[in-house]
Amino acid sequence: MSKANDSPTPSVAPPKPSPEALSTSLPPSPAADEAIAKMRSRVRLVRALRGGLELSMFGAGFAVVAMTLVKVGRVSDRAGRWMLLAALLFPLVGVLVGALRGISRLSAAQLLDRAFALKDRLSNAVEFSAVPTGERTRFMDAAIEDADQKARENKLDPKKALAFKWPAEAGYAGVLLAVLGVVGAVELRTRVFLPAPVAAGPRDPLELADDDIDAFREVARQNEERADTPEARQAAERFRQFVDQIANRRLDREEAFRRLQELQQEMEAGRESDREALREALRQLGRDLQSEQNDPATRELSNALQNADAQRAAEQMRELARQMRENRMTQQQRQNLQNAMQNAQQRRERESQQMQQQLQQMRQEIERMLRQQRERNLSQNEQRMLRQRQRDLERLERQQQQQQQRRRQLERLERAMSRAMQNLQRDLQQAAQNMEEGAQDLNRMQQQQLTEQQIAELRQQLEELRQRMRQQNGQGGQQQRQRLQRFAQRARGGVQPGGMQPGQGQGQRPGLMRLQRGGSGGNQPGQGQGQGQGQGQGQQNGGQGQQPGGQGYGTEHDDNHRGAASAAAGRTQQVNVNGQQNGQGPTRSQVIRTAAQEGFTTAAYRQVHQEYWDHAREVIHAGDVPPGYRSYVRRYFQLIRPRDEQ
Amino acid sequence: MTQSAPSAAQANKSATPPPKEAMDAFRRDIDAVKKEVGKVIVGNDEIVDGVLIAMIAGGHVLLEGVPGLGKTMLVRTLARALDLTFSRVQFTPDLMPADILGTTVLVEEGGQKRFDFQRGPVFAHMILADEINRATPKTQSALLEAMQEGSVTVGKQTYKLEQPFFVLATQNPLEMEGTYPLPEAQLDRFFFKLHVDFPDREELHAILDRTTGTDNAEVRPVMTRQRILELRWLAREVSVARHVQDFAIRVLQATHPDGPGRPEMVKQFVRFGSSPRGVQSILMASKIRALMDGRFAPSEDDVKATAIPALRHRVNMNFEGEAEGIRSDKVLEKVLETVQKASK
Repeated sequence: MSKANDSPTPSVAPPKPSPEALSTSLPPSPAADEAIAKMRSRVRLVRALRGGLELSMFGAGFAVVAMTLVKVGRVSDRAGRWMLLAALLFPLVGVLVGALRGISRLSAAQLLDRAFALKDRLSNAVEFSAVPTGERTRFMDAAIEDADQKARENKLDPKKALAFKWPAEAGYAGVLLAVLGVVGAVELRTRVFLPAPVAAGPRDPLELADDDIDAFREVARQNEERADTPEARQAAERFRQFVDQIANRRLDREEAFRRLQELQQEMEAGRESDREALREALRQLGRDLQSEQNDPATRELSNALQNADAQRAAEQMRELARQMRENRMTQQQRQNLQNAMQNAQQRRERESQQMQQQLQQMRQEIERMLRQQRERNLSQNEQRMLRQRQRDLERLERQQQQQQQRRRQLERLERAMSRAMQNLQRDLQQAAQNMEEGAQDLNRMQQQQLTEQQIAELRQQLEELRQRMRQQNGQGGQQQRQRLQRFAQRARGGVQPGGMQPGQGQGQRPGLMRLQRGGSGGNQPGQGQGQGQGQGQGQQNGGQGQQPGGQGYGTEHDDNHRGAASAAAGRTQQVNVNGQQNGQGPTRSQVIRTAAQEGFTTAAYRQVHQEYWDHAREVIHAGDVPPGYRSYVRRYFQLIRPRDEQ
Repeated sequence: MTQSAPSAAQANKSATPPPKEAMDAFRRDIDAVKKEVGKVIVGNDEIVDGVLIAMIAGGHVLLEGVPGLGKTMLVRTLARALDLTFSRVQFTPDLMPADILGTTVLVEEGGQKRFDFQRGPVFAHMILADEINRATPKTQSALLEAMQEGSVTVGKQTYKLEQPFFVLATQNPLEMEGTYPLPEAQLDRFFFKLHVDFPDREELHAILDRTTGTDNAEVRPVMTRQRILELRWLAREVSVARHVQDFAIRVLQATHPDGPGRPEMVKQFVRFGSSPRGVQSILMASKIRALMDGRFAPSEDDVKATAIPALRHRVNMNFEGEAEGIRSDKVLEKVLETVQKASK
């Protein structure tokens, strides 16, 4: 076979028709055209259905997700509705894409050819019809006519050519729609997160100055460190919590005072009576021993007990135990001691029995009167008598309660003394041991008294805190606060505009501090040797100042921190020093601190402060400071207290 | 395949009948030939159709089958029905080209001596080259010019072969010892390669009835040489739609290991695919097949039906394919399946 282009072929393959020509060419024949057109419509329909069903699977899946999100509360109802509407768009898009997707006449003709075994008659006719008429061969025309004839002879049903088959996605879509229905029908329990209620603080919280807060916190910390009994630790802890609440502004004024009152009441409840009962018990024990104090061995012990001095009583008991152990106690002394302790024990038992009898009689009498009252109306005298008896009974019960309380306080001590009493004649060593035990018990009481001292200090702090609270938001209000602030500033050595006068030497007598109110003078440089705190404290044998004390604290300082040595004759040489305020140098508080640490011999500021504060308290207790100013004194010392970092 | 158009047909072009009538006449003539052949040849309708298609297309056929299946009888019967001259050449290893083409001999005539060319058996309309693979390549190549050009050159003289010229070669697939397989260039000259299958039981009954009795079927010539040329021209008039032609091209491309749309099998077992002569054969055969089926244009089914006989001898298997015993028919079936799927 030769090459194709060599052969004189009368007919070659027709030129390739363009796709547009295949789609828009004239129909090859009416019958074929009709069949092809129907086929194209059928293809579009099937594609649209399939596209809709296929994408409906995704739409259903999306709807299930949207419904689930709505049910679990992750998506709002409004957004959920929009998502469900969007899910409907999926099959719609599928239908539109399938319907609008083009299909060529050639493809439709090929579908018909294959379906009806036309052996490409229709597709050939479509292609040949796209060739311009002048270029067609006679066999092309014949093929077109043949296709038309075949189209007429065969009933070209497009449904047979392209049967609709349900896509697999339709099944999945159905399942998903069922799931959607189930999810839509089921009400899921959702967890709704409500906004957390905002902790409402007091409208008008009690506010204390930061210095005060710091001071009270430090006291609380010291109390906690020193507390060695559960009661003391608990009290210190409560106090610290109370201060923290004030610091955090979680208490208003009314609530703060209420809490403070509760604290004080808890601290006082039973404590005073316990202490008093203990003291009374010791005194009673001392009196019991004193009644037989012919022997000096027991005299000192008796005196110590009558003075409720547990520490000294313990020492005396140890002395007695030592005498017993060293056998320095005569038989007579032992007998006297034994008698004394025995008498004391008998007296206590006797008192207890008497009180028990009285109580019994009184209860019987009251019961009888009450019975009479139920049987008949009592006269006024009888009723008065009944009330009197009831009051007496209450009193006696209180006395008995106190007595029992005393017994409880001295239970171990009495037991130890009772054993010592029994062993005095038989086994001195054992008796000495018992006396030692009694001494230890007294030491415990002494320790308890120390705890009482700590609690007393705490009470004092509570009282000061009450004072501070009163001043803070009390009658003075804002003006009072400002005044306190000015006071604090002056206490730290700060400049107070107006109302400040330089301090002047006073030092009328060594070791005595006298505070005076600040005047209303202008701000003037200080005079004399040392100013402010440095004056009048008499620690450097300064002479008596000739000048009247200034009204207010000094605002200047000596750069040398130390005043010139005073003359031995006591004559003070007065030197005027003009203070310089150039904005340089250490701050006033630093200067004061330095002066306290370095300016007064070599004593630490903490020690100096403690000495002065002790003295100030003595002055306050002595009544030298008017009641209205005592809080200022306390506050002053509180503000200048030594800090940990200093 | 020679393309010498019949002068009579060209002369009467204006008087060409309408396609419908021409196609009907075509079908009548072909049916008549097949009917006459059927008197002698039992079954083998596909072989008969293939041989007729190749002859009308102007091509040559390579028949492959075991001896005794009626190959020679088919050609002889066909030649008789078509009223064509027939030559049978038994190819043997000692067969020389001159034995086929002819030779120049010294002739003394009237007292004068001259060289005269004595034509060989190739100078006939139908040549049966029996067991062509037994001849040496030199002898085999002697047929090349005749098959391709339709002429024979001996010395300086070229002799034109009379049309239609049709070579039908056979080869035995069993006895390969002492044979010379046809080279690819010569194989490519064959239009079709047809496999002659063993007849089934009914066909054997018919063969025995016809050949062992006293009846001697007489084959009448039903088609003239001129008519064959007209049919050949008519077949070339048939137009091929673009999508059908494209389908044939894609089949051809898919036979190449590196061609587009090839199946994996081609890549694995094929050494090289068909030449463009293959698709030419496919299209020509499709046209004739469409006419024989009463259609004015070939379809993809025609392409599929003619692709295997047209391409099976043009697809060369690689070593792996040969070692695995993969036949080209199987590869081509896969190719057709792949291309068909891709076109849907």
